[in-house]
Amino acid sequence: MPDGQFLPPMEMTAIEKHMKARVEAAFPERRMTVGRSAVLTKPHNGRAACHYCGTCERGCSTRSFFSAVSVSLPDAMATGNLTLRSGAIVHSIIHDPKTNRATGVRVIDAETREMTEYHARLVFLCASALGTTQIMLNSTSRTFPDGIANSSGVLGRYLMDHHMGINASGFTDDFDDRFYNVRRPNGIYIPRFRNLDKASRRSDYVRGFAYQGSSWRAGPGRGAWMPGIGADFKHSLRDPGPWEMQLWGYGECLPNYDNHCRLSETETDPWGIPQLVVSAAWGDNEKAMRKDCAACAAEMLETAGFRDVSVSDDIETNPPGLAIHEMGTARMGRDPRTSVLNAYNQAHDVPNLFVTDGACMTSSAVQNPSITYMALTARAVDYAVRTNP
Amino acid sequence: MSTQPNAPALHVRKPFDAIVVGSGMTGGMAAKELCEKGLKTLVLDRGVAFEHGTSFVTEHKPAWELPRHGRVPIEEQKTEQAIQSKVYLYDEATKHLFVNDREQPYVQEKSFDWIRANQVGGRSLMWARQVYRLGAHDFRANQEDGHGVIGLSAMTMLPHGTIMWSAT
Repeated sequence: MPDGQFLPPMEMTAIEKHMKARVEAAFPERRMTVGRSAVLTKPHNGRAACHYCGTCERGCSTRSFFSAVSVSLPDAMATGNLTLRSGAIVHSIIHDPKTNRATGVRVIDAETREMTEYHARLVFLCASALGTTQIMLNSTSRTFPDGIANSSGVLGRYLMDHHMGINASGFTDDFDDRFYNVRRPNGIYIPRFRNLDKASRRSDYVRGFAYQGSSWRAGPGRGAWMPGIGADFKHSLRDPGPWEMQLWGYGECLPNYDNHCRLSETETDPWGIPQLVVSAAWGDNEKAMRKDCAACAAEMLETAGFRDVSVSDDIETNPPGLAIHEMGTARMGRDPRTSVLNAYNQAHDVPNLFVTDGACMTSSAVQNPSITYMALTARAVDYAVRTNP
Repeated sequence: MSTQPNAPALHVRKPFDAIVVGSGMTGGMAAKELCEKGLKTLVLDRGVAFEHGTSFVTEHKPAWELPRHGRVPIEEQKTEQAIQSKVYLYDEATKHLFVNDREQPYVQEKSFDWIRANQVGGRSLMWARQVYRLGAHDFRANQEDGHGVIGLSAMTMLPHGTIMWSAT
């Protein structure tokens, strides 16, 4: 996992620093770092540093964490070149067989259900892997009876997500004099260390897994699960509880033709658009990897000297999708017969159509993918504007 | 930032230079890059209008100012957001950021949790903000073990370590 140029890191807790030292001494190939988070730790380009309120998902008035609403869309708006329309459900892409170009999109108004057409010389699909694929599959014509830019037939195929639900936990009583920033919007990360070279090669699976994790001391709410009653018990809950360290495994998923989405032939949504049928399941490689992932998590927590180490592998309650890293259904490739996009996210079949969300991915890796999608998007825009297809 | 949820349906429109479908993590970046390169760009999102600041209706609200102290009734979860409610950060203060599964159905031939955003900005409002670059072995993986097709693998690795921060 390559480095980058970073703002100052957030601080690891006392037990995270302790675990990092123990694990890296025992397993030199396993590195532990504080998470790399799209949250500012000092003012940057007019955006304020994080004020550690701890609930990023409720919105951030200080623009300290990156979101499209707080950062990229305002940048676009400031140019005077942006028109933004919400409640606009894209039904399909319009294709002109004479010029073999996407000439625009058909849009259904979410409220009035009125259909409108918009036209442009470039079309970028950034509607999420499945959203984009649904639109493409629904864009049928005499040229593309199975969906626009789908001469290969692989549109909708090779759906991937990261597999998760391997959770490990351990406790320690050795740092009861230490406290921490309870609202750090970040955790720790242990990058992939399997199948990277000869020494780390596994015979039971390919690719690898990584861990996110975090540590904390239990708060007063722990009383709900503890035996006790009365004033003394209540007062004892005012003190911080024991330290707990958790690791959460995330694994790479192989591209598999059978894992796919397609349009329903019978069911439509309230706007008359065929519903998406999704069909995906974890394969043998994912299942084999999970065993090693669970074992390594326990091994590292034990190496750190934590007590009551436990690991759970909840594959049943973590079907594909829940990692929210779905990808791969309009994949890139060199051969137009087996892929939808070229290496610039440009449709092989329709040169002014670009797909830059997760649909473009050919393999899932194990890293959280958003930054890669954004980089691919910026790169594809640069290419599209330069070559003006 | 102004949105036009009720823009009149014109029958004759001046074409745009570019149309971007989706306004989240990648749509926002496409919009920024296209607009900054001078292209008249239309961004379309199926979700509701959502603006920096004024739309952050639960920001900094303590639990005692939320009608149910952050909880969402089980019955409501089951009928309205049976899939979305499985997300770790789903609660009373965030449920409006996710689609209503009843209103926006899909078919699960096998179990698949499709987590979707309900607004402009998409899932960039609810992501866990973790950003890790892919390494050389990730771009080579398909080529080396034969699973999947070769995509970007043989190409230059993306120099994108700083993109989050260059995006002002």
